[in-house]
Amino acid sequence: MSDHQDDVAAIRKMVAPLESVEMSELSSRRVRKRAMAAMRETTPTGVSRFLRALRRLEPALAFAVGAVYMSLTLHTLLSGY
Amino acid sequence: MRSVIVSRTETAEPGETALVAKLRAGEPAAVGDAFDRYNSRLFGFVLRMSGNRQTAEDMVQETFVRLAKSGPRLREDTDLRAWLFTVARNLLRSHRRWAAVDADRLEILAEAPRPIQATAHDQLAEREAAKRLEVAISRLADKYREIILLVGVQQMSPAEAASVIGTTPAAARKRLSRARALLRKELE
Repeated sequence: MSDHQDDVAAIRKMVAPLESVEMSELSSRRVRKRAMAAMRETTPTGVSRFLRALRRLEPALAFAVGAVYMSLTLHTLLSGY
Repeated sequence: MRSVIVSRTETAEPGETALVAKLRAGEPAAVGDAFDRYNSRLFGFVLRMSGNRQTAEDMVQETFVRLAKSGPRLREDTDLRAWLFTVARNLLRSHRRWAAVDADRLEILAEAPRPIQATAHDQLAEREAAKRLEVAISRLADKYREIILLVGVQQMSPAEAASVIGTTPAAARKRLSRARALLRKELE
């Protein structure tokens, strides 16, 4: 066994008596809820997903796709009047 | 927010690849799954490093909020456990809450429930040993305490612990050896 493997084994044996510590049930629920809310805030919407996908395309292709998207959006908006 | 890049190693947890994929896809339940999986371990580490339950809860919450915000930007090969410990450690440092552990607060640690049933005498002896160990660990300098907690309690390899504390595996092994000697001395 190398020196560092010996150190690892020895330290794990030394700390074995340590007791586990837990966050209180109430705090745990609060923190979990807060983290999940942050995830929902971060989850991209349809438009941001589209813009992110657009950024991954070649510039010329991105321009063409963007132009078609804008034309369709304008057409939809204007046709309402 | 400084990005944290921790690539997966051979010691990564099983099922982590799927969890990272869900986080990258922005699935809201994924951060809940990550919380269920790592909360206890992360809380134990942060509590023993800060010595304060409220600080530990705040740091753990901020760590998981950051995971939620960074989820879609995680690399496919992210070692999630190492990522979480790195962020929590950086948060503790940036908040300058590396105060020495208050020995009085160690009562909180000693009050945790025991997973194993034992006789009253055995329980008392075990609790005394655990408390003595908590005090000995709390007396170590932060750099030695954190490597003992990461390698000893969290069962990380020295290389993985090195990525969390931002040093080389060789330096981590050297620090581990010194930490072992110091802890033994504290326990004498």
